Amino acid sequence: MKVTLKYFGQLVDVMGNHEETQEIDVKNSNELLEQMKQNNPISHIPFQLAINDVLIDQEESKKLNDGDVIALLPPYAGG
Amino acid sequence: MSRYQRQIILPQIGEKGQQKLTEARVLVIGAGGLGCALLPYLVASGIGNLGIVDGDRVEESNLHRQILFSNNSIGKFKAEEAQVFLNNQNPACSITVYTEYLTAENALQLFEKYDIIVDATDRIAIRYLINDAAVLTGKPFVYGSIHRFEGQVSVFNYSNGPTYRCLFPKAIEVPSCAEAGVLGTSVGLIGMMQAQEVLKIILGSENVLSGELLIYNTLTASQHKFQFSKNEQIEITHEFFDTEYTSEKIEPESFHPSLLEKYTLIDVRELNEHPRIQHQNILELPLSNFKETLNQLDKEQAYLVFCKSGIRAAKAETILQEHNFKNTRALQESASQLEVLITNASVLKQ
Repeated sequence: MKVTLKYFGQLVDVMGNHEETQEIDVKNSNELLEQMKQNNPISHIPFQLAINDVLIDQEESKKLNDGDVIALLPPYAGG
Repeated sequence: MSRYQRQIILPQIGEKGQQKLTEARVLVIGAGGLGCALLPYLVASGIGNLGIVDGDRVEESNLHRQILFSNNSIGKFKAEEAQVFLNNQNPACSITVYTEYLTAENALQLFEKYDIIVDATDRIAIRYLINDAAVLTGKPFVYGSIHRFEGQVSVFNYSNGPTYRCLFPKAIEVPSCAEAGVLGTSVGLIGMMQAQEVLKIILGSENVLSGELLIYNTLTASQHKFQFSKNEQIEITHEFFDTEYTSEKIEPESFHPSLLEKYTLIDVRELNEHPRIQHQNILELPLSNFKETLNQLDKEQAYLVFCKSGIRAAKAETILQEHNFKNTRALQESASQLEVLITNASVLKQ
């Protein structure tokens, strides 16, 4: 299935862009996260996941569907 | 009242709204980039009472974005310098300054004196303190923060709505302006958005940014809004507050070879992580399956936990304490550092 990944904050620098569409071979949000953490150096950055603009509880794995927009949202500190 | 006439004629404000502004009491924590942007607008609008908390003094590197200060301000307290500017701007606003940092000792008492708390700080640890103190005193708090050109804005604890902990249950520190860099106009825009939310709360607007995280990218001029809801599992009580902030935190232990005689070490990294450290006194119990393996341990025995960065070791230590283990500590060294220390001490099992 195809999903759009949106990156914010520090994740933009690590992932190299703000947004990308990817063909993924996972069923749920936990599997996606695990795969992303394996393939990218992002484990040191805290972030939350939003699927189609709604934050999810990362303790529960959410089923992903074709066309989903998944945002990775880290907290910011500057002020 | 001709001073406020242009806003009074707005149907959303009127004489009643202006009266609400006069009676409002707003506490702004931080007189940095965000604070300097939002403070003059709050004062200009006719807010009656304002508190400013900041223990920092003005530095030259602040001046490109903290526009209430000038060269003459360098070395002086930010809160006092802001007060000079704001008193001159609108003498009708009563301003109290606190030239100190917000701490667990002063937060609750300070918050009690105000209706709305504005978070214009630059550290995540302080944000949790603001959140928890705002919950305990029943005050809404207006959040703003920035990473380079991107800003986040939200309103927490508004009408029993979600809090910062519902959005980010537990976060480690991330880069601040000093580390990541920031443009004055970017932080200014986010501060202005916070000021707008403060006015909306005072005026009783139906559209307060509660349960929503707004992210505005000042470079691409694009914005996103994300919905989040209250996490009922998160309970912030006075007991929690005391444990979190006022109890003495046990610092991680520093490794010494003699500890291998007193303690059994537990490596909570996953089994595919390197380097592996082989020693008769080291157990390998990955955090992913940690709770299930606790039955291999003895609650009366002493354990030292380690991982790669210390984060998982701290989590494992908490789990052990929750399961009534008597003597457990986290090690501050990473597995790689430990490997060297143990090898140097020639105690590595051959």
